[in-house]
Amino acid sequence: MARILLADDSPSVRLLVRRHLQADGHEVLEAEDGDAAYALGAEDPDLAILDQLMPGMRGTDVLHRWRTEERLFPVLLLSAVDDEHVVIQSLELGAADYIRKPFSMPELKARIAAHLPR
Amino acid sequence: MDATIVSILAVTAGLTASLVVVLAVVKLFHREIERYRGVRTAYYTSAVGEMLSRGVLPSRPRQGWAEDPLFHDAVADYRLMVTGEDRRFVDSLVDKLGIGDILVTRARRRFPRSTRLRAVSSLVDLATPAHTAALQTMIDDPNPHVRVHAVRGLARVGDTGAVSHILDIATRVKPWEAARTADALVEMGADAVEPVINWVEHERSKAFPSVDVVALSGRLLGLIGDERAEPVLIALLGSDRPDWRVAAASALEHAGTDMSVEPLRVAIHDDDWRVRARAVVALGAMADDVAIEEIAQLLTDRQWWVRQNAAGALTQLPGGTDRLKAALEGSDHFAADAALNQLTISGALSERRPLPSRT
Repeated sequence: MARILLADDSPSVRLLVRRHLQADGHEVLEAEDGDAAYALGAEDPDLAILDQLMPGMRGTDVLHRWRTEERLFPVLLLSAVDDEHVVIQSLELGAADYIRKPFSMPELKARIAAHLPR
Repeated sequence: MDATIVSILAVTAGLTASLVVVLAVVKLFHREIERYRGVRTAYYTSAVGEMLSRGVLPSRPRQGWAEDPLFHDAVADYRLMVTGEDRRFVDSLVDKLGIGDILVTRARRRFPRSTRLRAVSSLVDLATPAHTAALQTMIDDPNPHVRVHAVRGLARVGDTGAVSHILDIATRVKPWEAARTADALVEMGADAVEPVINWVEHERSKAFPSVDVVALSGRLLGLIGDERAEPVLIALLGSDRPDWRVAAASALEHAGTDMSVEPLRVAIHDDDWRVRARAVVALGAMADDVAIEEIAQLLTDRQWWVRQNAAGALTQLPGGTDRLKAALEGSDHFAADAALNQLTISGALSERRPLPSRT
């Protein structure tokens, strides 16, 4: 199955999403801040899930740096920020999707499946 | 004399040393408590996450968990993170462990203030419609912080029947509490619109209405941004009370439609500059180029905020940028200043230019 990078400063989000993804057979790389997430991008995951508000770099900052380096794996932004400007900015930077917290786990899994390389 | 000084120095040194030891012990003790709290938090986060991801409730729940505020935090963390089936699972966990009842008990007046506030704060995050009655009782509590939390809780469970009573209470409390109460109702969303409108209409019909809370309700309707509020907001915009007109002008930016354009065109000439400043923003958000000339006239208003907002509104309208560029070249220094600022912010000018010299 796929290698998925999951970056969120909330241990609960990481634990819950990791458990679900592992149950579906995915390998999960975890980061608890933006800098660690950026570094793990070098592992070239099949997909990344980035929280927008993390210590260090924000999700859109990490995405911007990856795209600048031509790391083109799909990225899902996950955030409690309900700000149209941030949504537009992340999509313009090349995010595959923007998911607002609170989220539905089945919906998140469906979106991940839709963006994973077939 | 020397012996006395030596004695004083010895006693001082002894006291200082004792104090340092006591502080070190307290710090060590505090660090251990924090470490233990961290361990418990991680344990609870892991335990609830496992239950949630497997969809299995504990067959024999440990009662100690239900009593622990850190467990409440962990459960609340998950509850606020997920929706749908997962949220219903968390709610069933809260029910099974009787956490809601424990929190309601701890929020009672016989407990210390800190315990009560901690309990009612957690209850807000974990409340279900089953806790509505308890929360309704709390909005009459003598403690203002308990009351505000209770309103947040009622907003979360969607108790629209309490809106009128909540707003009545807001008329009798201090301004900070009234403002927080009104803001808390935003979470009720569109369901709150009709009860708030009804309350405002009833209050307006009184000989001595609560000016502040009607204004806060107008603001609340704007934050919810529902078009059903438009008629009452237009009525407030036409009132003889400046605070109501200010609130209505702000709210119509989010709740207004074409019906609001004409009242706003009148409001941009209001005697109160706060009304003009807000009305011009709302007009810019919904009007077409018909209003350009009227808005452009406000570039020469005597108030800085009105000029800036007028220039900002023009950047939203088709042809407005050209009107601002014309103002930039004009002889009115104040209009040129507003135009320059807003053109720069909107990105229509690549870089700041010096203002024309004042004549």
